[in-house]
Amino acid sequence: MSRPHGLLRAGYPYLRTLGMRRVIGYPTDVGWTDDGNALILMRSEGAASVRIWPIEDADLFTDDLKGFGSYGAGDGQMVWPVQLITDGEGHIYISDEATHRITRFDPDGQFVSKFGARGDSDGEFDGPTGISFDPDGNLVVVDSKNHRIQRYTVDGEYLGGFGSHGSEPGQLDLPWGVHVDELGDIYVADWGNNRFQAFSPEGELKIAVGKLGDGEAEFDRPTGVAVDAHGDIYVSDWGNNRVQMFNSEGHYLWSFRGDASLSRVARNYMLTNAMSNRLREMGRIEQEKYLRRPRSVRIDSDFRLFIPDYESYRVQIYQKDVVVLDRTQFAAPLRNPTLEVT
Amino acid sequence: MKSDRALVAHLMRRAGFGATPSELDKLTMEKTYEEIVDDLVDPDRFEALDTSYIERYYGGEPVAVHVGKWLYRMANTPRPLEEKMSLFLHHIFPVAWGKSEHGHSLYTQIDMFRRVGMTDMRAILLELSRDPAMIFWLDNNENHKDEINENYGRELLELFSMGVGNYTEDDIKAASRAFTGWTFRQPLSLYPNGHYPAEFEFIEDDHDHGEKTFLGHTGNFDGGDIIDIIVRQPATARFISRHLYNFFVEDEVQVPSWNTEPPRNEDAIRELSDVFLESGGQMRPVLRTLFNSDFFKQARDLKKVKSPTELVVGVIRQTGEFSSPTPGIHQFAITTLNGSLVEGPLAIMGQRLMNPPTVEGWHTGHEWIDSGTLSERIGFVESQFEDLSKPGVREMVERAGSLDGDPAQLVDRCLDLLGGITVSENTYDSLVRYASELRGMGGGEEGAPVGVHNLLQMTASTVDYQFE
Repeated sequence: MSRPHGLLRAGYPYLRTLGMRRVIGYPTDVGWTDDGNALILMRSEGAASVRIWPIEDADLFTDDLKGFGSYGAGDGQMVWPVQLITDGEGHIYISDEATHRITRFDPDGQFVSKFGARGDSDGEFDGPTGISFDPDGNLVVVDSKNHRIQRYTVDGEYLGGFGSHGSEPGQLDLPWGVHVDELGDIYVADWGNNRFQAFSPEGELKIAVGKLGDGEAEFDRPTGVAVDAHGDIYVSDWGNNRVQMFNSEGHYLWSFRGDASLSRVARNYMLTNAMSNRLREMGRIEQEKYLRRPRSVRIDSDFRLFIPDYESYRVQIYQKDVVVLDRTQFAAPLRNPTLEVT
Repeated sequence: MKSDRALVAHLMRRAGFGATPSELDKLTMEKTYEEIVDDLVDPDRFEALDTSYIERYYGGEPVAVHVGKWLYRMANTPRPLEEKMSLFLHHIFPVAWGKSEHGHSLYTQIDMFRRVGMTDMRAILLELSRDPAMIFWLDNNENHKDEINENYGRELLELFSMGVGNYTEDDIKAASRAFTGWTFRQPLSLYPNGHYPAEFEFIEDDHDHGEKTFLGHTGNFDGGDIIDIIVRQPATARFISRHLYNFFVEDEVQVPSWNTEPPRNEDAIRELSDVFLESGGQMRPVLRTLFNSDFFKQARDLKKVKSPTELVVGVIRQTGEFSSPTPGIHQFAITTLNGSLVEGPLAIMGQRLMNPPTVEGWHTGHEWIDSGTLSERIGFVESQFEDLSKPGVREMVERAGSLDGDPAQLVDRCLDLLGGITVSENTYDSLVRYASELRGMGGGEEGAPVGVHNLLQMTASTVDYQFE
């Protein structure tokens, strides 16, 4: 699918909330299956696993929770998992920055294989974080403490890489999330430099956007990055508790700060908790809708934007609403701003 | 060499959490003792730890996770006295997680201690009185103008500033009235989205605006006025000075005995109190005086028992295991109170950080030690130094040298590498005999010098290592 000439941006309404405390713990990333489930990667000190939760939401509470994986360094276990992606066959890949490896699970969550070892040579990791598939089905991996990007086959064969430590354009400082778009361009959340950068498949810098701050196109520790089929770019801005959205040229569009309502499971739970309901009434209830420390952002082929709301035990989902425009509906780019109204 | 290595090692153990051999090399080569003290009391000279870097790796709600993050800070801060003062204030203004189970507030309270601990006593007591964790711990959220709750007012005078015998029951009532309306905004409930921060709130309608008489002063006082009067009292200067002496210099008797038992070093307390009063309660001049004093330097020969926190942080600084974020630091702090089936070493040694036993805090000094806690302490140290792959352990073993030379010199090097510690004559002789017996042991895996490693481990496992 080629990218549209232009977009009529109708809005980006809030869709729904998934989960609550006790059913989802510290969601650090989210993926999805072909049969309508979210795969919510959960991580906190001493706990790590994947929760399987219907994207349409569910009434479930502590019984019948589905998921896989556990905390530990054994096969199929995780210590500090960072990101989760799925391939066309439903296999699940998870990076782990403590064990320095990528683990593959089958669609049922059973361990299949792993690769990776600690080091700074080609084909080694020091804290792998972001992972994404390139158009050829290879894995692009952020090697965070080596400040570089590496490419592997899904079986772990090293194919190459680029990147160096620093703050100059094109350099990286403890990078975190990554997304490879359908053209093969590589978008990286450059955590320590408070920016995101896009590279060609060969590693040449294309754009770099951001600096430290809380204004538009400013960041306080960007974590995840996602690009949709229109070329729009989303960056989770950890310290500013938001996700910023840019067009394909890196022009700031708007921010998502959170609009959460109660999930179905949360509604059911709260009906039996009189004290909690009273405390919410006494408190600053408006706070509840906002994002807290998002560590990732993802968008699926239906343009649903998933934000794992790390410190609020839930996933917030928005639905993109646009109309694709052709050349007759969207003027050519202007070099200068104008006050003329047409 | 610009400063004495043993003395600087003593300073860094007391004013911080110990220095590694490399750090001692650098400090003694580059700075005089007085310059090092100046650096310690002026932490702004050094860049603070990047909080986002810590939060990037360590996440979670249990109080053990918060304690783990604090341990990481203690072990890695370039501002050791700032962090040590946070621990000092936690000792003398103890608030326990167990009452509220609101770990978020406990952690932000420690942040507050870090922020104000090196300023002045007025700022410290004011922030303490506005702190939601303290307000809830001592019921000031239940202190209303028409229904006075004296809990905070009483402890502010008895345990936090002046000590028993320096005020009357009427003073407690007046202070309590002055703090009416000092409460916090209700944070959102734990369910469905986890803890939210609590924020101080002053409710003017719930404040007693009437006239009060406090320590001989009369006026329409509020809490800030009460603190102003408290900080000017010689009793406060003496009480805080004695706390500082007890924490940094020499184990005192326990606090409840202070109104009947004189200080161990009356002259030292008087010297610190004078600086406190002359400076208006400024902490930096008081601390500078303390660390530059003869009584502090001479305290190197006094056996001051490390708190469990000082022991654990000192060890992990030396082993280097957590010199960058590494999984597992929270395990030192796991307690059954947090729903776990097991206890971490801090709890077994008797110090659940962020969860002290009472408003009096922990009984310190020799009361840290009984047969069970001593066994845990020694076992902990031995196990932490067991793994030769830990960078600090490997560095120390490499620097210690071989067993081929004079055994006494080898023991001296081990003592120096472990932070310039001193041991009793009996212990020293035993270590030298052990070093002699170890001669002839071959290299271990990958050529690791097993014998030297054993000696180092044995030296760290002595009772003497348990003293600061």
